[in-house]
Amino acid sequence: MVKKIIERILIGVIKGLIYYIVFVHVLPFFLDIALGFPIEVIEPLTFSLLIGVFISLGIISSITKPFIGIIFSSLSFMLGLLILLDIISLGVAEVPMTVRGVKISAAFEFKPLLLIIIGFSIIFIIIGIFEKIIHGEE
Amino acid sequence: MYNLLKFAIILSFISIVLIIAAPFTIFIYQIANKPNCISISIENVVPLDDNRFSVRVTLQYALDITLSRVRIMIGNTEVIFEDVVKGAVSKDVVLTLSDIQQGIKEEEIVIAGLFKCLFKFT
Repeated sequence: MVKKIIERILIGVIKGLIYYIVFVHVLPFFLDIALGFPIEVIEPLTFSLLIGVFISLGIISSITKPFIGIIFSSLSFMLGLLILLDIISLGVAEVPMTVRGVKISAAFEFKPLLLIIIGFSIIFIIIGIFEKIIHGEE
Repeated sequence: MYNLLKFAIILSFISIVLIIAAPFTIFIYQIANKPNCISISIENVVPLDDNRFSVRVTLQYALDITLSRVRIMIGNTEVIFEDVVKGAVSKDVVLTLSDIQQGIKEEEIVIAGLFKCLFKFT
């Protein structure tokens, strides 16, 4: 029993680390090198927090029942997506303009709105999953 | 049961978006009607030595939305005004000759602590 729990925790840690490496290092690196997206630098404290969150979600998803585990796996995926959107500076609109002969580059950042839209989408997806689980059990 | 929950979430989503987007929308609307609502002036230039000058940077703001932060880059010197409300605010800073020659390079405005506008002058 204990061996099985330890095994599941280890799987969760590996799962979390894979999510972390893919979403925080591999995909941003690919976007930067291959597609030329400007990448924002993440602070070391944020890095360690992200590792913690990914590993925790990974452990919870592997030690709970498969149906509930799916929710935490999708949460990991969506968190990764959110980080990716944040890293590639999505939510910033740049407009070049000329005022009285002076060239101005205006950048408007509307990340809070984007985060709210993504957040509510996550809530909707989770409710959808719960709805399906309950209908499945019925 | 789920439909009611979904309806409540949609309702709260709309209210949150309205509350969050309101300051930015009002700011853009007012700035479109009053283009000269923000002005920056550099006055009281006092030479300290051959290369350094003491100056007073004044920011005049004429809109109702509070600006959480206004950051102005004059050459390589950064001047920050926190919580700017309707009226004028001043700050005494020391600028180098090169800063004065380069003039204002960047202006960053944070509206209600949520939205950031960055203007780069080239």
